[in-house]
Amino acid sequence: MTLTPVGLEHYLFVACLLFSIGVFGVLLRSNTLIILMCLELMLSASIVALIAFSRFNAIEGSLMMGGNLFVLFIIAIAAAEVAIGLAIIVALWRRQQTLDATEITSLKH
Amino acid sequence: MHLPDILLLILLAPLVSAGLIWLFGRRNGHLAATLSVGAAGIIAVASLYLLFAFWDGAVAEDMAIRWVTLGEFSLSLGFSLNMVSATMLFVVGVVGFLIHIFSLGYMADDAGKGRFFGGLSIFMFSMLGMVLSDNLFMIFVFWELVGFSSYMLIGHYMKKGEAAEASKKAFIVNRVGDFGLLIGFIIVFWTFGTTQISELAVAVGAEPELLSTIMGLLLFCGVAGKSAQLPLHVWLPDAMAGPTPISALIHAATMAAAGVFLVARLPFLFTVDALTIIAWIGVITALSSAIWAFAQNDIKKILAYSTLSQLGFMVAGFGFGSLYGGSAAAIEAYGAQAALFGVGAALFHMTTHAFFKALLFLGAGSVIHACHHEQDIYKMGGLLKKMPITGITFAIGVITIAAVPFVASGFFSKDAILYVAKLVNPVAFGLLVGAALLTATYMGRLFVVVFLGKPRSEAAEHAHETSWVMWLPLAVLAFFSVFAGYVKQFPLIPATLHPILYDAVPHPAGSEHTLLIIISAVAATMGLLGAFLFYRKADQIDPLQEKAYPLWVVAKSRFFFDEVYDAYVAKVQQRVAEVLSFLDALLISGLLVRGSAGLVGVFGILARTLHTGNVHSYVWWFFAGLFIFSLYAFGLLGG
Amino acid sequence: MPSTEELQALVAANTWSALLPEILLGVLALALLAVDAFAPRRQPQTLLAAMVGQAAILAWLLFAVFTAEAGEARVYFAGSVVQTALSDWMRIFFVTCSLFTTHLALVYLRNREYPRVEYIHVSLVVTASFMLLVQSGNFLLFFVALETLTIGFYVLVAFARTSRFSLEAGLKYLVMGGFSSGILLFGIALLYGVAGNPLLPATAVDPLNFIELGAFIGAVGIDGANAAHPLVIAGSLLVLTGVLFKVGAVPFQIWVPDVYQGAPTPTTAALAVASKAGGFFVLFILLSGPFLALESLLFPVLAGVTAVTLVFGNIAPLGQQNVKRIMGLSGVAHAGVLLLGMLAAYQVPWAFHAVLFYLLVYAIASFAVFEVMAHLAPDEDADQDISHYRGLLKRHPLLGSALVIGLGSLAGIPPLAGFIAKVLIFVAAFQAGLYTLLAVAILGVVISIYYYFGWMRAAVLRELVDDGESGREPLRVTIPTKVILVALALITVVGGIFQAGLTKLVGLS
Repeated sequence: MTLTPVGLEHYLFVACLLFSIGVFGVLLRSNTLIILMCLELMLSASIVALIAFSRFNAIEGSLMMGGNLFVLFIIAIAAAEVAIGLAIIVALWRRQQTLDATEITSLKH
Repeated sequence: MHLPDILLLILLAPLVSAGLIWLFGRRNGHLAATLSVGAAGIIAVASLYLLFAFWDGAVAEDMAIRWVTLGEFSLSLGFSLNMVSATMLFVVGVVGFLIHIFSLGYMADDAGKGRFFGGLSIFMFSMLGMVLSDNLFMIFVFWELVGFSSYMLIGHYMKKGEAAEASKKAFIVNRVGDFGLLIGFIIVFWTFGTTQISELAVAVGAEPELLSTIMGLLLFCGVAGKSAQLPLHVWLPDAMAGPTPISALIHAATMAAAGVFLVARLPFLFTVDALTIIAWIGVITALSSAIWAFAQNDIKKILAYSTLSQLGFMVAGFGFGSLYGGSAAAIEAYGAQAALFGVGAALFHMTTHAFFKALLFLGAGSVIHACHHEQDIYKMGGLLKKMPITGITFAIGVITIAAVPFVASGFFSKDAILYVAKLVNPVAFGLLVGAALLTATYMGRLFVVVFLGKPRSEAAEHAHETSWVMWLPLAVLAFFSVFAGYVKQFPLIPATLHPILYDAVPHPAGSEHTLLIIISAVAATMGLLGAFLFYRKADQIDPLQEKAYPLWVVAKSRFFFDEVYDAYVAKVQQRVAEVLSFLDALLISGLLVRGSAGLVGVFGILARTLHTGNVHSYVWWFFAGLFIFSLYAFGLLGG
Repeated sequence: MPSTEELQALVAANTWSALLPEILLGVLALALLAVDAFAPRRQPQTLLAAMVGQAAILAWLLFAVFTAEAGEARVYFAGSVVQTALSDWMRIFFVTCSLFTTHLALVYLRNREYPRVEYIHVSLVVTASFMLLVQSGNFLLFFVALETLTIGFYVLVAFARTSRFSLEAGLKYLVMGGFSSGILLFGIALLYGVAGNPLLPATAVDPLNFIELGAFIGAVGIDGANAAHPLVIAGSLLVLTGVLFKVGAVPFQIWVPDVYQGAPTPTTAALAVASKAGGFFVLFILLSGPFLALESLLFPVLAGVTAVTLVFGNIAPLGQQNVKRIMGLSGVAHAGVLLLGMLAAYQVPWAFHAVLFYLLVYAIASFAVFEVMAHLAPDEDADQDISHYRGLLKRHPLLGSALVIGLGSLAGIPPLAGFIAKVLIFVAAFQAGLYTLLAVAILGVVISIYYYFGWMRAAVLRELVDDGESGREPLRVTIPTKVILVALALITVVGGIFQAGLTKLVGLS
């Protein structure tokens, strides 16, 4: 039995899976912390895709470093987003003692 | 000074005045009055200087102030000055100024003085803007502004429910007309590819087969709205709820004449069929409103119906004049001049009418003022002795509108219209002569009941002549009313306007001339004399109502136009509107009637329920959007 | 690996001086924090310095733009930064917005115990990011700038940290913004992958670069055009989604009213004006650059979005009583009109200038309205109701007039500047042959007058209700505020009659 070498499509499959998990997590989960994590998952999906493309599109004479470079920035941005997100969630918890997104509905209509 | 500078001065003076009043004069009525009258003075002086001393009568175009330029596309604030706009400028400048002066006295004690004079200035601005515009786009914008400002002014006494209703009615009826006008303009632009009037004239001349009757009739919709032609006439009598100087300004000199001005500005856009229909609408309006005037007891309403009637004359004059001018016989006899016959006839009567109708309205205002805001003519009487100047000037107005030969300008202008009507259609001529006879009669009735006989009420008993600011404009207008008809003999009308007000008006000659004079003289004298005899002994009740009740009822019914409209609005429109007509409901009941109507509420509630406040449901929107996008993309891939 | 020479050449392309205004804004932001930390008693001077610093940067940018010779786009940082006459104009626009936002913040924070300098700090960083965003020449700078400003906005929206409305708005904006960023980024990743694919024709060496990406998408190979490649279609639609979120177009607009309502008024103003303008400029960069060859794909999508945006944006505010929500929902309608202009720009070259003019006029009118709102806001900023505006014209004529003029311009009532802006876009749409959308848009304008009118009526006609609670205390309006209000109102009025100056500013003449 031979192992199929891991190719671009596998990475992309993982990326799509991560993206879908992220999207549906945001759609379906009501805990704001989990929503925040799912948002990060969506970014991670792109990270995987970018690196995979970067690796598999590289040929002699064209190194395709742009994707790798991009990923570094994305990680930094994701960190900033989480920091702000957590700060807001903590402040909300202090104010309202809930993390349930379905209960935070004072702004409407 | 260059010509554009003068025009800009004329246009900006009322705008600046309105702006200053809005900023500083809302509480300070005195300041507002000074500013507004000052602006009107500037307009009068500048336009008289322009017309008598500066302008040589050559058509001045291309005075565009580039408004917005975007690459090849440009919107320009274009001015143009030609015979038609110059005539209107003359009328608006002179009559507008006199009405401003009169208002000083009439509105002296009004609490909303600042608002009133601010409105007057805006009105002057919009009117002048429309007169001077050289393209359809600007004309429409200013046209709407005219409608809006008149709406404000008619509703001046807003605490009176009647005034609020009247202003609403004026607004709605005008919107109906303007809607047709807008579509007409769009079709014109679509067909000829330009909104520039001078370019339009060239384009129409090059390809006259592109014109269509429906185009002209749509344009006439707007005219019918503003100039109150059948069947859109219903707003004008109701608009009498506004202050009397407004009635004078709107119904005599300007707004109502705006429609006539528009057709005169764009005469080349009307086909023969359109002109025929327009002319007949004018005839019918002239005759029927003359009938309705008999059953009115409110002095201003009588004048309002007479305005309707005179506007009908102008429209008929435009229609028949253009029809005659377009005929082969006329071109052979008069050459290129013939093309202007319709315009000339309408404008000439518009000019004289502006003077004598302003005179009549201001006279009525003077009477109303003296009688402590009593408007019922059967509560007046014997005022000639108490207010001699008002009485005499009013008598001059009556003689003029009755078109007594040679002593009244109305005679010359009305004759021109009767003449072209006779040349085109003898039946129309007959009907118009009938209308002229009726005009003389009901105006005679008005004069006899108000100024002769004995006072019929306390207020009339104690009436006395008003102050000079009120009677001076009357005297000036009376002078104009008598002598403006002698275009060439008296230097009242700028020489630059003679080509349109004299040369472009067909003059009958020889036996035809004599015949017309005789017919006019008979109509006028019969009318006035008949009125004198019939109404001489009138007391509290109208003699017509007493002696010929059926006739009176017919006149009183006003042919049920208002009732039909009211029924339509109440029974049909309300229900259809709620279900079907989103726009109508928004505009008519939503914008104008207070409070948010049902439909708006429904949409509001619908929109509210969408915003649940739950972040999940919001993400679902996003997801749905993505889903639709992907469906589209897949569809694209599959197809 | 690249050789040393290549790297040196790359470094040489880094013309930092080209980004000096942005850098200075960043330095100013940091300096504010530092000064405030070490000299907290000097806060008034610090705040004044913030205003003066921004004004100086603005003056410098204006000077640079008006003395610059017209020329080609300037490209720096190996294609990351592309400066054009339009992007220069947008930089000026954002610094101006920043000044107004700062002023609004000072008004808003006057009676509240939240930190002031921090607000202005974040606002300055956001402004610098906006300025970078409009100059971005590749997706790297594009995304970094976009995210920096979005994250900044999370902070600004949730800034009133003791108000549950503000926090909730922050959370909602975070979730929606994060979601849209994730989608946008995934789209970028897909585009990056497909454009770098060596098997396809015209493979891009640097697929993140807009020009190379555009060349790739426009190329046609043996197997068909790259524009029809599934990944290109998917990627571009995902990127478009992210941008449409920013401009608040249906169906990505649903967050707008909640976030606008909950956010502090100055943040709402920045979201309404700067964020929307940035979104539209980015849309322009994308549609006229990398996505140029995708017209047949994107045009129907955008046309559909425009139609529903116009309908939704004009119907949703009907009956709404909260003025911040009205501003948000009507902002959706404005986005629809602007999208109409963007669509027209496909056919009519000057249409995008008309869009810029609209943005400018919209910004001026909006700031006038927000200035008034900031003055009338009760302690709980989210509870701003139309009824608070009753009799405003009598109570404070200047505020009342500014409000009426601003709203009138937003509603497009002639002869105010907003009317001209709408006319220009409509004319462009007419010339481009978008008759159906034009009809929808005109109908929308008619409806929009209704809800703006309700607000104006409250300010003009309704008498003050003497309920003893709101509206009794005198309004504090400082002299600089008066100057700003008069200036904004004057520009709006004069701009309706003579717009030579304004149109020249956006390159229209």
